[in-house]
Amino acid sequence: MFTRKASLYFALAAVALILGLLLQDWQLASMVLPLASMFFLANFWGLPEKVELGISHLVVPTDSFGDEDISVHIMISNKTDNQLGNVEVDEFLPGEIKLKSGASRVLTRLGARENFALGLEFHSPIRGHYQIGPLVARVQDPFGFYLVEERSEAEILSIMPRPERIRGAQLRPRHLGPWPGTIPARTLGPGTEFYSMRDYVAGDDPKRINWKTSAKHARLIVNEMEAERVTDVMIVLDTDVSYYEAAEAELFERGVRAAASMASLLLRQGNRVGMVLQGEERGAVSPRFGKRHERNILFLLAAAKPGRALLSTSYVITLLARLMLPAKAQIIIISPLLDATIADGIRQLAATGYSMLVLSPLPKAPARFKSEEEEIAYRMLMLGRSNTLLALEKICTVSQWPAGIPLSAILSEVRPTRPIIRV
Amino acid sequence: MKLHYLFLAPWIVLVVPSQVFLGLGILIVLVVGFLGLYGMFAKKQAFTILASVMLLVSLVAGKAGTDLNRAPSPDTAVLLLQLVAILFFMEASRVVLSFDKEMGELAGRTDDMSQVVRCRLAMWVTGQLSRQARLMIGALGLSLVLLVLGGFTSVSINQPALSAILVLLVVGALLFVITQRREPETRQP
Repeated sequence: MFTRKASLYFALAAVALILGLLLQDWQLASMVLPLASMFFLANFWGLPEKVELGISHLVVPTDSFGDEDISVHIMISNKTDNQLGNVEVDEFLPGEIKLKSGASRVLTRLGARENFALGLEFHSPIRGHYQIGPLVARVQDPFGFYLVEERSEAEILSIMPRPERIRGAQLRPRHLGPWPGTIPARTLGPGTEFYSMRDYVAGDDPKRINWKTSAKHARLIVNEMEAERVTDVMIVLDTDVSYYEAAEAELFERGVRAAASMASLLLRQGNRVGMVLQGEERGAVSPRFGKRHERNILFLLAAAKPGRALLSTSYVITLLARLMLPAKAQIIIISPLLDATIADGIRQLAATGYSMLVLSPLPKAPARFKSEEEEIAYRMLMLGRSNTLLALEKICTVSQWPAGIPLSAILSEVRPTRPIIRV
Repeated sequence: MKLHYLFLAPWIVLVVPSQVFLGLGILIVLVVGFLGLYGMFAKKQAFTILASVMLLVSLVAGKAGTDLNRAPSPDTAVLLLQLVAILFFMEASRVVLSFDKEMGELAGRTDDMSQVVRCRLAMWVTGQLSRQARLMIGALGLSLVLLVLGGFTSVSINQPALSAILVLLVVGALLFVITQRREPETRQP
């Protein structure tokens, strides 16, 4: 194709010609000749008529937890027998990415049937989705009058939050699935926790005989265990952390990390886990099992951004819980509880039988305030949060998570509470 | 290459009779020279393009002004040489600035891939400049040949019908050489 530059040169030729004719000056009109000759030579000798390029790029790895370098392998091949003197290879990278090695734009020439491999390397950027590409290769004549362009699709690089290794979380939902898991089922079955005792019957495993009790009652008695099953869990991450500008990012990242860690743990235990992002940007992943599903959840969390919720969190969680979860399943809400209205939604869900756990990252107090008004505003916000916490403690399990303490330590202290619900 | 405005600007502007530029020839030379040199050394392509466009305008306007003032005209071959020189140096400075920019991006990187890119870039710039020079010399030669051939035909430009046909022929020929085998550029986001 011919470029805009070719059109400008054409306009210059036209101006010279018209001026020459108007002024009846052959010399001015003859200025068209070099321009026309340039076009002619550039068209017929500057760029071959048939240009065929093979281009591809590969991002390795496409998913990362942000602790490794990312490489982009670019391959450009000239598939014809003509030499290409002016090839521009341009890999579009987001502004946040700073290259460690290689270059995202290369000007080169390609010999006949030549393959050119180019590698870029950069440090992993912060959590998020990044568009790598599109990769564009442009072949031009020496003056840039004519252009052949090849493009390959952009790839998405996901920097996901790394889940923290948590030992366990005590969840006691009333809805349980049929498969063995780690949640006590309040029925007899294979498990690790003692449930009851009964008389020995032929065929019972001798290892289960409770010898002390058997000696006391002068007959064989065996221990019975509480069955442990899986459940359905929905994790709601409240991304509305509008609080104190400097500390917002830390508070938000803590929430994201907690959501990733909880999802990872619960999926590892065999539960069906879903995820809801509630804030300015919303997103949801339906409950499912497995390792691949963990990636889906982490992929969703990679894109999470803080922002003021447009729809009430209370409304969203009650609506989605009913759509995505069976009755009496487990809901985990990760929220700094800066919006008091969330309590209504939690109350409604608890009243309908869902088992609720609220994990609330505790906002860090600012080191200093810019003004007295700011300090008063902060205290009022914290007072409102305390009230919400008090209200929630009556209806569900609430756990506060101060900064600097491992999530594992917080979750090991969580004990399910019996809710008192006044409807 | 970076200093070409120092000789190009006086050569284009100062050969035009001073009354054509209202006695401002030296000022134009200074402005063009300053803009061009600033663009080349500060690696700002917009300034070099502006300086080159000013030279092109000076060339065309100077020739038109010479006609209007009925001053003696320069030799046609010199005029064409000046035009080709402006265009060549404009294109070459674009190549040099692109080279400088890409080299600047690679500054401080010593890894193997950056070395490969540097080598490729050096090959590209020498290839580009030599190909541009060859095409420009070819274009100048072809123009002079066409000029000589045109001189033999002795067509009178004073006849409006002939002039109109000539314009149509030239525009048609230009459009042919521009668009032959090529389509217009379609910009993609």
